[in-house]
Amino acid sequence: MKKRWNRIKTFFSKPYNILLIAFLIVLSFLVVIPLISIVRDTFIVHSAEKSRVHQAVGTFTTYHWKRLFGAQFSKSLLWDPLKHSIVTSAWACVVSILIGGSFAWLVSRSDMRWKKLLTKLFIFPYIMPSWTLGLAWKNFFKNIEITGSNGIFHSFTGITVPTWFAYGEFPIIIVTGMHYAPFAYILIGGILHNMDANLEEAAIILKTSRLRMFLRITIPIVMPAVLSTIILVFSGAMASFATPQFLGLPVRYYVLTTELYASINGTNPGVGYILAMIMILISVIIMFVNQRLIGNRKSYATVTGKSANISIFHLGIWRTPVSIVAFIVVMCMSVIPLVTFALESLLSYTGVYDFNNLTLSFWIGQAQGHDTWQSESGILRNAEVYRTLWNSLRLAFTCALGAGTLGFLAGYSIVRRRGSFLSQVVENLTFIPYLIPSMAFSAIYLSMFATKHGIIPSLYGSFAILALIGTIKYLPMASRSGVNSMLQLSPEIEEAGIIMGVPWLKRMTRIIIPIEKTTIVSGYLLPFISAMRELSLFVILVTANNRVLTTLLLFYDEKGYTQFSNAVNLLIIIVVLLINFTVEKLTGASIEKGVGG
Amino acid sequence: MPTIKLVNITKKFGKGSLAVDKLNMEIKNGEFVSLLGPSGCGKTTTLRMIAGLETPTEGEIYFDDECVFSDEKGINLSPDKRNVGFLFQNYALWPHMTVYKNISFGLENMKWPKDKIDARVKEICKTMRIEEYMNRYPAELSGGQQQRVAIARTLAPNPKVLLMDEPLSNLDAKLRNDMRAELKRLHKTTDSTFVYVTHDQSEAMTLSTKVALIKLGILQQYCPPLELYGDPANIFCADFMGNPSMNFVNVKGVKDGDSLLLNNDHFNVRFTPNDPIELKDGDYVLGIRPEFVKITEEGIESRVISSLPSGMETTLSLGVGDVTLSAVAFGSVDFAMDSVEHFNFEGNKYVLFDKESEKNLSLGSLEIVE
Amino acid sequence: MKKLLALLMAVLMCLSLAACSSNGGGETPAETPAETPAEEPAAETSAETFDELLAAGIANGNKLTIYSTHSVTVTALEAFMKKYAPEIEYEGTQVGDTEQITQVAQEVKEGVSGADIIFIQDGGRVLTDLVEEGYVYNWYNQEIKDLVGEDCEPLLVWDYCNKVVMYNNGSDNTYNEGDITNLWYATDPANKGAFWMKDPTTEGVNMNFLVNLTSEENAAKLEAAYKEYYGQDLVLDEDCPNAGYQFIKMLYANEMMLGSSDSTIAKDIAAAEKPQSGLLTLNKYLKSRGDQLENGSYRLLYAKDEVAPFAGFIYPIYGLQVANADNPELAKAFLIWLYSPEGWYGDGELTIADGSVYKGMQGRYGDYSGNTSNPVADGDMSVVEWKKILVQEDPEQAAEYRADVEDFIQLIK
Repeated sequence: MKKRWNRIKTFFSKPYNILLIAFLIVLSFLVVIPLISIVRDTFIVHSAEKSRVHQAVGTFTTYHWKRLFGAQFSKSLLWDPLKHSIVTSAWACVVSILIGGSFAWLVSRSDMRWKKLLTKLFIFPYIMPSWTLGLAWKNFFKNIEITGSNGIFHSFTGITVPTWFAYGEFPIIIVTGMHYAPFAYILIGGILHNMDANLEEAAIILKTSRLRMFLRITIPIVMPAVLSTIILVFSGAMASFATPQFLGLPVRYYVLTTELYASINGTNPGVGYILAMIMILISVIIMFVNQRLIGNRKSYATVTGKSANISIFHLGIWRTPVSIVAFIVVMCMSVIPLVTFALESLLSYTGVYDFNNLTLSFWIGQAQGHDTWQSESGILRNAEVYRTLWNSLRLAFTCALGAGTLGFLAGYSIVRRRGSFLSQVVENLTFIPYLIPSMAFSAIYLSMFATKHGIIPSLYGSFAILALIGTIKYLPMASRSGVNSMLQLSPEIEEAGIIMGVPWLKRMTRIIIPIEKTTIVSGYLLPFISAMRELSLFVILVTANNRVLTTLLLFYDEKGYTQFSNAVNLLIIIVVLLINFTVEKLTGASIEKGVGG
Repeated sequence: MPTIKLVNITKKFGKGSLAVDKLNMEIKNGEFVSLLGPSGCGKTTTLRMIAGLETPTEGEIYFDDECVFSDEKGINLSPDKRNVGFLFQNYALWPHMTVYKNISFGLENMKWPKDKIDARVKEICKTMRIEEYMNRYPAELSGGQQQRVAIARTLAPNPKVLLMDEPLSNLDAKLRNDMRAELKRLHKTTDSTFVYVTHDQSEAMTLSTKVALIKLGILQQYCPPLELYGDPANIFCADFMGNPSMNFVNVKGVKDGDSLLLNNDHFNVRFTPNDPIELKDGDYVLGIRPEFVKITEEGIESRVISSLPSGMETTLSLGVGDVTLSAVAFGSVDFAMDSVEHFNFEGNKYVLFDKESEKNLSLGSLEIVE
Repeated sequence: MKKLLALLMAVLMCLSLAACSSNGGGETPAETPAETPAEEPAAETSAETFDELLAAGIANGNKLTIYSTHSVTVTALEAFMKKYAPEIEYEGTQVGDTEQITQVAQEVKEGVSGADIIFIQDGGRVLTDLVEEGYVYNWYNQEIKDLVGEDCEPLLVWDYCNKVVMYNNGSDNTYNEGDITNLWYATDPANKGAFWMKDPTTEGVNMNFLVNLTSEENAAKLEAAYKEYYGQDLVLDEDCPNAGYQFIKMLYANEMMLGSSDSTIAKDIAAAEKPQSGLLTLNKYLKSRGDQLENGSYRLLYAKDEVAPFAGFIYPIYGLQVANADNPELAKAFLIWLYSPEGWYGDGELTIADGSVYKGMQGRYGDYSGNTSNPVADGDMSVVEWKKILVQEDPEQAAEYRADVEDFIQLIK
């Protein structure tokens, strides 16, 4: 008895054990209960469903399951969107890995030109709100065959792209792939950068052709990075809503999230929750398969070597052509969308790309009245814009603080107890929010926190609920970066402090945090950026008085105030870029480090 | 079979930093040559230039009469065309391939038939005593086993030239000794040319048929190891070889017929060169190997500063005034700290260095002068 | 991470247990708020007057909050408060109908203070999700009744909006005025992929329109119009119970284009150089007028009475009281005021928060007061005329058959 008591005492004398237990409890509440609640929601009647289920609201029903899997609707409600989701997500993985991976190779292994500039620009697509890239695509490529009017591309080149190119599967894949390409670049680049060149040299000495070496040595070795990119991109693409909504809707190309949106906001939320569950399950399965693929036997611990051993591949006569192609691709991904946003925000009349048609009115002009497209004042003199900007900044800052701090502490405690069951459970719990589609996640939080629970007051409509959901949703990235940074720090550094009797708090603030400063700041940067450009997570939780920039953008967009929405979009991107580069300059932190490259 | 010839090989990194400076050397067929030197001296760079992994800035490299590199003629044969084997310091085993696959991969590249590959992999695994690990992944092997896999992979295609970059440096002392013996045996059985990079003088001593000692990119001495030990070209070479290292005593010399009278503040000795050389008065450095400081009843009086018995012999540190000399006493003996012992000189393996140029002037015998 | 699957399994298990137990009623159907407003005499006319309510509202002193799908109500609130209750706090926010339904239901259910009065479209869902659940209720007094008449029931109409067939005009390649004479043109293969609509699954009133088309009366009209257009009798497909369904099916089969906002669609159509058309709020016509052709005619035109059987549809925005209002009296007074000419158009002196003059619906096409004595904008038709040529939203029919039609569309889309 006493022995057991002592064991418990020893267990809790370690700060990281306390942290792990705390994480276990808090995350069970904030992550597991939502999961359970999603499942529960698939079995009850919601108020919107009364007229179809003909039962009282809140009673048990199997209607949703029967409807979704029944012969009549399963194809259009489930199988087709599922197929589309899987196809677009899988190809988005391919696209992001091809673009991001080859860029990573060019940057870390070749003598490509303009590396510094290009790497800076390359992460732009990740900073932009994901759907705006879709909007840019639409603005750019729409043409007379499809919408009857012409986009920028046609106006300048006279080339008419076919429908499949402007709408539906193809652009969804490309746009989603581009949005996530920075992930691939950061993760694959990280390994390529640290990979011991001897591994490739050994192959060369053994008379391996360049191609065979690339396929059999380089690719397999970057495989773990490729696989973790796949998890991130696949789950992200699977859960992305706005891009398929903008690019798929006109040609009625539906994916799981668009069905989910229609269901949750329409007359059958129950079906929506089943769809959310299916999406989570698919991501979990992918993750599981992934882990089996990497396996434990082929540990890659031996991969890293002397980084001085990096051999730069000389592109020779291809150097300039390759650099130019890379430059063009990066421009298309990062700069041209910004130009289209700027251009669209300056047009008096949309669709007329003429110099005389440019105006700054939507930025600095006054409201023109109901019978014009400018029924509000330009965004730079619009109090509402400043209010939402401030709210966005406040929210992003809070989420970053929350997710970054928790992520760092989670990383610390997970690494210190690596291999234990507890640490493994906590590590998984911190990753789950990544797999829950934002829209379902926020629907659950809405019903969970609208009511008063014991000491937790009703958070409905409050800033707190936005901050809470943001913190939890971005915890996965922050804790990944926390784990990575702690793995690089030998425990002896802390042990030296323990021996000298330095208390835990002081060890953290005086030893560990100063050493890991840049990585920790990077862990804050990513949630900040994500929160600044988040839409689907906040859209149903935001109420009238705590609107953020992205919901304002959506509002403008739904109203058809194209110039305003483009201007606000540009504003978001500029603010994020400014903050990002300021933080980078001041602390040396970067998104790359935040992703764990 | 190839003889490797380096002609005026120079390698610059970036601007200015000179890694290898006008290196000339010839590695004859069947030799076991060690490139020895402190870290950063350019030895690994030299090895990698031979392999073709690094491109020299200037000079020429020949394999027999075939020029594989020449900056003037614009020749640069790629590594896979040079028919060499290369053993990396960290083994560079491919983590995603089993032992078997690691070894067979190179053979597949050479388009060997399948059954021949299989036979060869099994044979080499047997030789390297790693048969039972053939289906494991590198991460599942110990350091020594990984090392043997790396050797097996390098040897499998029967390279005529085997280049090794500090292959034993990651192993513990015991394993290192075992592997040394193994390497030496392999050199005999494979009948290939070995070029071996190490910073460990005893490894170079014990393994090689010839040692190239390099300092700051410049070749100091290139000869059989015992010659390097016994007749070092300069103070650097003398100091680098041997453990405990050679004693260096600053002396003033006065010509006395065919010999020199050397004196420092504490003792006087007569140095007689083995072969007559031109002698003159001046400052010299006298190099005395510890094993040639003989503990005797008579001779120069000294105080025992430390005594480190290792069983087979005992290493002593002796103080004569402010001069400290290392000495080796053979047999299981120990000496009390601060006790007084005498020593004397015998034989003709004492080295006289010019103080200024640090060059070896001559070997000779020493005799105590009262 | 292997544990993750195990974890999910456990979760699944928990859920099935939870689900079974909740069968018995662990989760009671959304509790009706204490002061059950559903019992408010909805069918009876309130006796209170504007003056009484205003006084009571000011005495009440609580903040007045409104949610509205229409931007004018927000400025109207500013004008009203400034003039009648300047000391009372207020907040007006534009919220879309779907979000409003979620938000209001949630707020009333959880007893959180939210809106006092809402202005909302999509009568079908408002009836089932909000009114039936007792979250909002229909209210009017004699003053309103006198102005609005039968549109007080089942839900009080504040404003009518219409979505009518709009098409582009300009070069020889586009439509000319009067080209479109029959709604079935949208199903004509000649117009494949050239007919637009905001996605009915996200725009409730559009869905209601489609549902209303399947009513017996409207289906019969469609059937007659079919014969007129195609010159032969309509033969129904097996899955189509009537001409309404057949029309929807053919519409989707003809690659109807779905947009995410009427404005964007209007701009796209206006800028098009090929025949393009769609069902859009008339308000967009006005906004597009600025974009004139060189000869002075407009790029965007709209159909009037020449289209058989309907030129589009007309739907109300309802003004409804929220069950847990903080200041129900003031909310009601505001509602009554909105029907007055002053509330609808302003009086030229009334100002809003930023100091500019409140103009209300002045010069707006496509907005028609529930009080039909408020004149419409110059050039627009009156709501009575519009109703003759448009399908009028029937919220009860829409509520009853919406699920059926949504399921039907789900299968054919």
